[in-house]
Amino acid sequence: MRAAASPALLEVRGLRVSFRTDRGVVRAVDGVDFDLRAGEVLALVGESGSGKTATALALLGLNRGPNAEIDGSARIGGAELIGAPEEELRRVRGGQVGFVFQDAMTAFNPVYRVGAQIVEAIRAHRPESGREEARARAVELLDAVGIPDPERAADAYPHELSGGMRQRALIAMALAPEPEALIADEPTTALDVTVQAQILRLLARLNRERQLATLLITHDLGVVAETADRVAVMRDGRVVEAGLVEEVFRRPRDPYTRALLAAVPRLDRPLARRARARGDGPLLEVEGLVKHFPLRAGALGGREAGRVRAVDGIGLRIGAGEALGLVGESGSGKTTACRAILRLVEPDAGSIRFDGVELTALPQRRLRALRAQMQMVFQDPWSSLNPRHRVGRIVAAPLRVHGVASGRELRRRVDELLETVGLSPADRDRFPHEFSGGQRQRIGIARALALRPRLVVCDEPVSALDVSIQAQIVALLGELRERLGLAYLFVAHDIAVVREVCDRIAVMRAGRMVEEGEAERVCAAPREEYTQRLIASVPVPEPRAGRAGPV
Amino acid sequence: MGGSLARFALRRLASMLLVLFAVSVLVFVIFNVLPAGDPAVRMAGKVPTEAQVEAIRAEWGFDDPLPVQYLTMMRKLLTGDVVSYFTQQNVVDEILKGLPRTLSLAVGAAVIWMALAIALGLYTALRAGGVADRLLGALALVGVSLPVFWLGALLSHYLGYRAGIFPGGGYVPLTESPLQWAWHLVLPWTTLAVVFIGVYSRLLRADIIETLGEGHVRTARAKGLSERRVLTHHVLRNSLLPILTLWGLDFGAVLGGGAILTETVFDLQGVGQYAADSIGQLDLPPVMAVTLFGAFFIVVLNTLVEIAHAALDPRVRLEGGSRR
Repeated sequence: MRAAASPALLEVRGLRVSFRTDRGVVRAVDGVDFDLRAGEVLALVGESGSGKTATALALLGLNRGPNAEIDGSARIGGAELIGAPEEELRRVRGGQVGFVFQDAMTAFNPVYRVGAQIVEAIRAHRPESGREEARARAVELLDAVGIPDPERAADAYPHELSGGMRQRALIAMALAPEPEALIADEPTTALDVTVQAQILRLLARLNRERQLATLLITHDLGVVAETADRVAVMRDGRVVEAGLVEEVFRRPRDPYTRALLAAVPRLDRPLARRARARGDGPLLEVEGLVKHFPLRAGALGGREAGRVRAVDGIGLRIGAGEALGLVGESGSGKTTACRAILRLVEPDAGSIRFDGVELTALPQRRLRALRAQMQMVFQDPWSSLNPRHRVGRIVAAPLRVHGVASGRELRRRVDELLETVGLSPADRDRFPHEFSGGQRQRIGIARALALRPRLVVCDEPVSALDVSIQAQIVALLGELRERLGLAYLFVAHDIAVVREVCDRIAVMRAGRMVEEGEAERVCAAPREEYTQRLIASVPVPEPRAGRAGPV
Repeated sequence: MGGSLARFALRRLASMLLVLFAVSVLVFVIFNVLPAGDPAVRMAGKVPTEAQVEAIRAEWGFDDPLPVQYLTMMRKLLTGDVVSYFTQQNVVDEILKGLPRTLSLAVGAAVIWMALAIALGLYTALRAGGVADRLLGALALVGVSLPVFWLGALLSHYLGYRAGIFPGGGYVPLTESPLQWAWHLVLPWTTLAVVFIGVYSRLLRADIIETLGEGHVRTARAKGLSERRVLTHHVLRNSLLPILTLWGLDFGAVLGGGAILTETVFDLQGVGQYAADSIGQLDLPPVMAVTLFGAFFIVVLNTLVEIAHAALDPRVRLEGGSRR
């Protein structure tokens, strides 16, 4: 390969990172070696907890601390970084190595304008450049990363930009002091598939144009296949397999790599279709559902300046035991639709019939009783569980609220529920923070199942999870559906995941239904251009398959 | 963006007027309507003559309907036409006389308590869990628990009366002698500041520890900023915002006469002491006026602080927006 000829910009040898915690020493990184050359993209892949982020942070000494122990060697242009004094590292940080973090919303300081934060990065490394000059450079960079109105973006606060634009601005900030290398830590994980595709193309272009050495950290093998030249697969702090992307993907040697590859949901993978459970007649019928949010303006906020048409007249039907997938980008109104259907927000118009009962006119008391049959699983397994309650109490809550069980019977039911979702009754007395993301989502599912619902609304239940964990949760949902005869309204932005779970797929855009049909048909032969674009954006773990242009 | 701040400020100022109106109605109801008996008799003092009571009744219009009574009260307060029936002194004049003294106390103490609280909060947050942190944490608890009258009396006795370093009490106007002004206020400032330093330094410590763990601080370090700049521009700048809100309430309360004990112990003759003396004599007109005056300062300062907060943190301008 072209890249192999040039000497490595960054050489990492025997890198080890361990942290002292209350429960003993945790070895986050356990002897990692790799080289990174100018003009190439090296992907560091693994699940959360595999040590990939700890590796990247250790290179720049960003996880130094009284409880951290970092040794081994990392040289950039021959200069040793591990153990280097802070003053020296400070010049490398940003100056030689730019860092792009996962969530641009939290990576920017919310109280400063975007432009000012980029200017700060420039002036940290070029104190001689004036404010005006640095500002002009910031605008130029915002333009270079494809932000339409860079002057305005520079004057905006981070929360005033969309997620994709914010991520672009974060990349612009990392490029500002003209580094030789870029470390991108899950740069697209918080984004929609369509936006993700744009950001990945941007990173590939910058890498090419600026001859950057890029270290891409991700858990998504589809992303690796579309962006990287070489890949290193990490597990438990070690690199289990490394090589050219084509070779590793075509002939994975390590069983763990093979398992990871198999976990990626793919649109071209044949599905073991479950026999579809058919009840008599529809369980949920929604017609002409509308939910608008007014935009307030005027000095006292009294005047209505406009409306966000979050849900703008949608209809859908779910039969008993059937799974319907609702797909669309963020902002398309999927979540609002779910909430309006459960009347967690009051719909403005339309009819919602559950098992023949019209929900929109139902008094609160009767609605509460009916809600026992319609439960919800939320997206974020971190914020949807009360951190101060033990798991047993969380799972028991619906049973208590509805007065279904108490005492020993309650305990028995909770144990049963935990076992149903693949946890152990002993987990009852632990707190949510003691569990991994996937386990937490299982707790959320157990809570949703507590009242033996007939319909479960899953709002992006796997989008916050690693690919391999995603596959486990998807499998669990499929199995539960079969065993308990559940119907799902399954919301996700990733159409490949939806296809694995659902019988039918409905595509939403800007508050309206764009397309609806059998899952296989929608994925194989989408009729609408928008659906086609959604499908094209799904990263495919097939080297070069989706890659735009020559490298 | 500038427009959103102006809109926010206008909304806040409008709601401030509403709150001030509500407070004045509340004061009127509490003083003149709720208590049983004749308000004119209560105002007149311990042994009034029939003629005095009649005069007061006529002056305040206590025979008029309630809304008219309210308007009369507000007119008298706003035009400075309220007289104490004990001392025959004009109440508004007395408050204005006490204001520079109270203001001197409040500003000096606030400077001391904010400076020390920031220094201690930052120091203990960066050494969280260490010996210094634990010692200072214990000390902060002691500071919060010390009764002001006890600490004030102690300082005044030992450093003032016994050692003769500081004057034991009294007030010298700033315009007369700045040095004497400060000299006379050192002990009151210290006494008042101690409690606030305890509370503020601990709150700030907790917020700084939280901010240090946030993503944008890691970004700031990854940009290659100096640790000093990271701490001042990205940690303290953000952590001071909630403290600012609290400060608005406390500073307003002290200005409105809330530092009664400190003012009395050091005989500063400020608004708080005036209120205390009037309460002691059950002299209603001054108590009423000071109550309204105090509420006014708290509401106004709180509004100004909210607007400042919105200027410093753009997310606050969004209706219902949260800080994180």
